[in-house]
Amino acid sequence: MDERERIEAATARWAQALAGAKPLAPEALPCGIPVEPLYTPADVEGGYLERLGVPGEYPFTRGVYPTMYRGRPWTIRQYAGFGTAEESNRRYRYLLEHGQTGLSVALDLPTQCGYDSDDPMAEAEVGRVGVAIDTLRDMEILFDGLPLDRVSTSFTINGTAAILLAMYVAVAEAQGVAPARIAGTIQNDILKEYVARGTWIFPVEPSLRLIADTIEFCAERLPRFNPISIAGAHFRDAGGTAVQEAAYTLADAFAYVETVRARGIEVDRFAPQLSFFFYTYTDVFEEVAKYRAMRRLWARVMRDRFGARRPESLMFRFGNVCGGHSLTREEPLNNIARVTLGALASVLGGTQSMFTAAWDEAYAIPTEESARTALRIQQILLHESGAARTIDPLAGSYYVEALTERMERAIEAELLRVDAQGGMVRAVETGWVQREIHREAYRQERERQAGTRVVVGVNRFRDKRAAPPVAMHRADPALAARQAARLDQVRRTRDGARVAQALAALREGATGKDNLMPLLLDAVRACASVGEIAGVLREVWGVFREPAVV
Amino acid sequence: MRVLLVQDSTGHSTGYHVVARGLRDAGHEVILGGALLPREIARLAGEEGAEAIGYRIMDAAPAILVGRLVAELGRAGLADVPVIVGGIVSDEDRPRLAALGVAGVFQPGATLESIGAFFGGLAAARERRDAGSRR
Amino acid sequence: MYDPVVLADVAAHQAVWEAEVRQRLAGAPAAACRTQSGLPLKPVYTPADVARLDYATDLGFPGAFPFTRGVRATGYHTKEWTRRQVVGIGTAEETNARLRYLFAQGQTGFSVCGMGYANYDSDAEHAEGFVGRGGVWIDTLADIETLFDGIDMRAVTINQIGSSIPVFAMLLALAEGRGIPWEALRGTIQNWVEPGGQGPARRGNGAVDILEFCTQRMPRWNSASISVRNTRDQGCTAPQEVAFGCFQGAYTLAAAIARGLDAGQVATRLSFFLSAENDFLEEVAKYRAMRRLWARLVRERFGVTDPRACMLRFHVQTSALALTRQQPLNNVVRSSLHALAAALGGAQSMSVNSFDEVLATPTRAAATLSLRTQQIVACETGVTKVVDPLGGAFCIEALTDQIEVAARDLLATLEALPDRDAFARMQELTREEAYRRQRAIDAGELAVVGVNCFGDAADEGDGAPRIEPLRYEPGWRDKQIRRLEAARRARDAGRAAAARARLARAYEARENIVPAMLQAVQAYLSIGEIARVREAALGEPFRPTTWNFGR
Repeated sequence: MDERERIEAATARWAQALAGAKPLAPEALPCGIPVEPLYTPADVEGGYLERLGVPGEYPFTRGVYPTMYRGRPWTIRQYAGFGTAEESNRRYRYLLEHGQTGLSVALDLPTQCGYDSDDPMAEAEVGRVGVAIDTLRDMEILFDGLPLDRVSTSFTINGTAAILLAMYVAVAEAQGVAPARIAGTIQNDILKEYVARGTWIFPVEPSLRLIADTIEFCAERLPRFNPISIAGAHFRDAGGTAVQEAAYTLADAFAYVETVRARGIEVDRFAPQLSFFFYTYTDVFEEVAKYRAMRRLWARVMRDRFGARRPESLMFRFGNVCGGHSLTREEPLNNIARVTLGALASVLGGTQSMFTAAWDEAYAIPTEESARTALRIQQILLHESGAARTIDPLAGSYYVEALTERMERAIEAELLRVDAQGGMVRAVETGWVQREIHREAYRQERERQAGTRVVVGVNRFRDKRAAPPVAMHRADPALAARQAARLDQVRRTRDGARVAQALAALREGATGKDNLMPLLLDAVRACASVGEIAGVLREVWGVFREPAVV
Repeated sequence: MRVLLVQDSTGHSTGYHVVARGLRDAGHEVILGGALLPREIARLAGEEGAEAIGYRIMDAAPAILVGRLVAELGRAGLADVPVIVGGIVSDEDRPRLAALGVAGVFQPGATLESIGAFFGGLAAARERRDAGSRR
Repeated sequence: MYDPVVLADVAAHQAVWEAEVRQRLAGAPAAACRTQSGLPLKPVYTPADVARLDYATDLGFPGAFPFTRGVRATGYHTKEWTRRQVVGIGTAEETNARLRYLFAQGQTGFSVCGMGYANYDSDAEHAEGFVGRGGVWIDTLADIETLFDGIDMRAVTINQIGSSIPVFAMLLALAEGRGIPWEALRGTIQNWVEPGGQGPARRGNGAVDILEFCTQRMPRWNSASISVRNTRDQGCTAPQEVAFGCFQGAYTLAAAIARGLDAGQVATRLSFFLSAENDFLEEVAKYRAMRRLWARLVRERFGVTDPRACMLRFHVQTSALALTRQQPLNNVVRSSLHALAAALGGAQSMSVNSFDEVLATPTRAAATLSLRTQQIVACETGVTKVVDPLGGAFCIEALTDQIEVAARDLLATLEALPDRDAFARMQELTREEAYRRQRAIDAGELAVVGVNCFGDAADEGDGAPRIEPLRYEPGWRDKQIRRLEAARRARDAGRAAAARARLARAYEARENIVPAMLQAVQAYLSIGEIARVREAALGEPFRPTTWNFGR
């Protein structure tokens, strides 16, 4: 009898010893994967070097970099932005002063959907969920005093990502920073917008083209900038499971890889700049296994299906956010505990960059104080908890390794279902993905209402008399008028002929096949507004029509 | 300088012992009085010729105990021996302690260096005063 | 667990990788290469690091020797840890109200601090400025009656913090008064034996008296909860916490045997009270290492084979030393991580410290947030689904082994010393570590967020931090004195005098003190009166104490 058989026999004896009591039923993770009550060496599959290896080497299960946080900590990147560029600039300076290490810009809905602040479509939304950016002038103010060769910036922007990227490059030029030195990410992941987030503008085909343009542009000109952050976070927060989040995100990524490859661009030229973004909720093991499984799966598919050869192309680099639907409005300080536990899971899962939400997120934009506490979560994890001192510390855990294998297979199975729909682009266009997520969201809501999915302070352990917290952020009623006035002033002082010329060139380019980035750069440099640029593209390409999904 | 270090109660005395050693390493002579009542502290301060009293009060209402200590020191003719309070002191208690003539307050998070330097300052002031009175 | 050939391959691979990492990290701070307790920590762990461990003998199965993976075969599947937030504020009335509130919010265990810590009464000079801070004030049985008002002693497990024998007797008296047999009481008394007592049986040693009484009369009561949590909170390291706990446990067990008690029976009712500190991985490993070390110690040293006697069962109270006055909400973050480590380490019971504990006794809202933290860890993180979820992790297993080895060595050093020297040595080592720790914080080598890094000038300004700590109420003392006076007025003076005399005789005769103490508290003698009787009988002077009177 070899060791495995001996342990299996002993496990059977252990299970028998329990027979006096009720036999232990496997429980399930929130994503539905069942877990056994006990894992032993007999549950660990495969050879160590093949399945795990060392950090920084294929299959990257243990981390994408050889030194991980011992070499460089993850980037502390709190999502922030509200009101006008001045107010957001102040908040960024506050966060950097308090030890944040990267910027993450939240943009208001008009900017995300390609409307100017004075557009009737923008009413009541200017500066509400993020900062309002109309023209290059706003972008300059936003980064006033923040040298772009020293900070890295992430923009949560999709439909108008290419325009914002052009503005960021233009600000760098104005600051005297060479574009090759700027670092950061634009989200630029349109496929998930159609499914879960909703800030799409154009139909699928031209949207993919715009994404391919930015990917190609970054590969050539901005080696330190990620042209896309393929974001599963929104699948998750729309109600998808961890498995769906992982599978649909990878499916999106493969679709983008195919789109760019179809232009005849070698996979190794652009794959190293692809990055990812996810939600981490509070189920620690599900999250750790999810990240480890995705790293291994990505490396394998990129190597075997797409023929990538550079190690950088196989590295699954991701950022994450802790918060969202894992937080509650009830007893909101409980959220500090939740975000902390999610953040720990992210670190144990090997994240490259993290946003920890503030405890009052369910009420309002964070106050300085709640934003600071959110930031401190990451600093305590990094400097006090010791969880970042050794790499992939949960490796070898019988449970975590078995779960990582199981998670990888579940993600693969879901990817096959997407393939059966004709691929991700088709699955999005027909509304299949939307339906899958809605079904899951409904199931979870039913579980919450039935109390089988416990949410502390909501469906169990709730003090109904507990008072809501004080000191919330208050919105500024004069904001929209101020922003419109600035836009008006830019329009009056800019060179009108230059703007008209740039927009005409863009209209022309949009009908053709050449990369649009140089034309977008010309337009933003001339101070054409986000609304004007998006308007031209809308004229040429039309808008996406949402499939009716039930 | 000769520092009498006392505390209000016998438990939770991590900081008490750390500060004692920190003061010693900063060159002060430390007398560990332990947990004593205010009148016992005043008596011991007189017997030992203490030049300063470090009083660890865990939490709650330090002004009650410090008020009694200050009164006892006055009765014993030791009103010029500075009292320094360490422990958890609420914001609203700080002015109360100041009004009682407390020379300094150190809360959790204070460095040993800052505490040592503060006592060093007291010692220097005392030397200057002694030199002045000799002249 | 892996093939030797494969292991050699892994080891070779790891060596190449380590060389590369060393080169890349040249100049990185050395502190990053150690755990909080100073144990060496490698940048990565692989199967090669755990090659010398044998699954069956070193890990085994939950519920089976050496219990590395947990004492209960079913883990948290059949019973989650007890939510046992420490409560203690004002008089028995205030504490009772807080307890009832927390029970309604999902607390499942009773744990009250302050009971019988002082050896004088609320009307003594010493009590001025003390009553109701840092715990509840108890003078007489009347206070314990109020404390348990509306609380079913059979429905909750009771943890007596501090080892006051008068208070223990009051609990017995209350149960008797309510018609509950002592055999039915479930709970714990913080208790361990220290040097002292007459003869080999240590007659007159109160700690041994409790062991004896509980072993004979209270089969469901843990007669010794050995606390090294407070020692850890005074600054000692994780391996020291393990070694000190095992030393005190073995010392207690030896004393019980000398009193004529059965080692197996006593060991079955022995439990531990541990801390949870910042270093997440080290803490998880600590609990596992201590389970293994204790099980081996009980079996090898005392020849006990009953598995229940070899199980290290423990309660965790999260660290207070790690909490900061600056930016107090940061403490919610720390406590959450501490609580998760305790759950992953397999705690039987837990108390999570509150974020405002460094400012005052926790407010009700802060205490509730601590309870919620436990509930979130239990219900939302998934830790209860799998037994010993980190078992097998190369890093955790390597650290578990390291801590066991370090603690075993220290234990041997302590046991080579005369008894009193060993106890003094533990205190000395702890103070050294506390001093070293403070120096490391001052030098910035040990990061404390908000204190020596990421501070904020605004914290020291007016109105910040924006939280409302509980205010101390000086009127609690007046109220308590009235309660004491009422109890004295109401009692039968003749019965009190007889009980006093009986207690004095018991002290003088070095009898087991518990029965006489029971009569004393039932006659409503106060703790201060009892303490004076003891001093007179033993010829000891009055020395006020505010910690653990009456052991």
